[in-house]
Amino acid sequence: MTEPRISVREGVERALRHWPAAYGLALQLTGERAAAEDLCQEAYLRLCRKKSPFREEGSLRAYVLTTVRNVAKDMAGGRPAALDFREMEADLAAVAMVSDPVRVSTRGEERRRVTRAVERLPSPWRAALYLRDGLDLSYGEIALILDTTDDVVRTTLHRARNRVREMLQRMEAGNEP
Amino acid sequence: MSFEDRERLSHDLEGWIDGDLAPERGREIECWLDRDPEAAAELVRALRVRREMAAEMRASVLGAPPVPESLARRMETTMTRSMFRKRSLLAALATAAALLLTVTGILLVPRTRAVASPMVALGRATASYTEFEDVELWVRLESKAMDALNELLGGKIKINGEEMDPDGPMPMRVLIRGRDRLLFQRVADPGAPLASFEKIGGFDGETLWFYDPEDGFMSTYPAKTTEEGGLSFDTGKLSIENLDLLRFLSWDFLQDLQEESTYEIREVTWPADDRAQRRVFRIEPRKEQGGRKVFWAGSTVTIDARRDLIERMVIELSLGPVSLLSAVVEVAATNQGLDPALFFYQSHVPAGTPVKEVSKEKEEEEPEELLRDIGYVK
Repeated sequence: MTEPRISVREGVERALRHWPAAYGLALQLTGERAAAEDLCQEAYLRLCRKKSPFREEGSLRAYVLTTVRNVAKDMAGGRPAALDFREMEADLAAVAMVSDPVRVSTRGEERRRVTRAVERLPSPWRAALYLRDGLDLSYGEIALILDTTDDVVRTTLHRARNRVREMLQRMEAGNEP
Repeated sequence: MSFEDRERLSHDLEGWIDGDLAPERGREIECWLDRDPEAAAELVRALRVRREMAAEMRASVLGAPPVPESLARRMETTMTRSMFRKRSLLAALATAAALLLTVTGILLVPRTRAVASPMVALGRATASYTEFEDVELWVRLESKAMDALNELLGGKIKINGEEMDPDGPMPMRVLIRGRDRLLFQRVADPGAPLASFEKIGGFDGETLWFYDPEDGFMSTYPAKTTEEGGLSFDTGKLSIENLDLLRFLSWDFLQDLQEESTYEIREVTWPADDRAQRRVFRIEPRKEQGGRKVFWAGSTVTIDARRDLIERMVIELSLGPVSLLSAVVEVAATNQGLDPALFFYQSHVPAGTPVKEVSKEKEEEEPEELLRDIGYVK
């Protein structure tokens, strides 16, 4: 059976409902609020230039998130490494601290540590965690959005969680700020 | 249990929580949890950290700023522009006017001197087109393949019963002023003035009009106001919504190209071009990514670096390696100070010519008829 379609105009209007989710992903990918908002705006303009109708509502959020991811890749100059899961270990040491003092100060100590640990993860790991824990998406949906495989998503999530756990242990032991 | 075993089990704990471990390793974790009180504590801690991480991630959503008001305006503008793009290539070829809109839609004029990157050099041009008051373009269609075949057969090719014009189609002169003034006519001599004994058409801000001296009357197509406040036409041959011609010329097709990973832009400036201070870019499907289909379209853009102007653009429609049809667009002049009266039919059509208002939409024309309309056959 053919999936019902909705026009670009209607689709874009409906896609605006997913602005918070799109912003959340953009924030994980950029690590910075202003950049996340720019990325989101560009993604929505790209949706407006879509030539064919949208599929029905069910796949709209995934489409918006995929567009955010594609724009992030383009903004990084099209460098695959910007979202390349194979480079994750190598990138880890180079990840910049992006702690937001306002957010951190309003949480308990453990939450602050979690925030710091998550912020130190490479952006693809954060994006995968966000899509899984923040939006409750399946591995398949995450793989589709991040343009990778279910296995890579599964491995990424495990590594990310273990990495956070290790960092928390080191923070508690006073070996890491 | 060795330290290494404990580390491994601890590492597998996340996979066990997700239900992703192989049954054998899952049982190992369960045994560990049963035997070791520290394991149970670690599980509780892992679940707590997960909860915190989920809260952290959801905070990204809850902390999202509202949709900026400026974005809504930009989205509306972008969608309006995109309406032009919905027309297929064949439909765009339906009339010379439609062809004009198609080819000029990818005509670019850079605001500053070209820079190293072709994408940057062309991309900066998109924003500047609306700065012009008026533009004059020359458009010419060519089909080397059909010409060669016709010559080989001694000029015996007939389309819809008519012989091909051995001199090829006449070029079209196109004048655009501001948002919505358009005038076009096929002319043999680029230096000749617009003439009432040749087919001519235009838009005066309210009415789209065509005059064919052989018909002895003039056709008009009143515009309708769209929901977005723009103008809309549908003559059967030419369909336009939210007409805004100069803005249309600034069409940000380069962004489309960036999104279409099957296309690439590369510089093909030859030394002679370089000496003449020209830069030449080729835009075509990427071969290595299978972007080139049996039918494919490509274009060559020439920039006059001295005047910061794209002076020529050739758009080709090809079948495999054979070029079927190409449209050559040249910028003849800009900001000539064209008189608004030039776009009214009264300036070109003999007084007393009957006017026939066409309101009923016509059917799409057959390809043979289109070729005649665009001047490819006599």
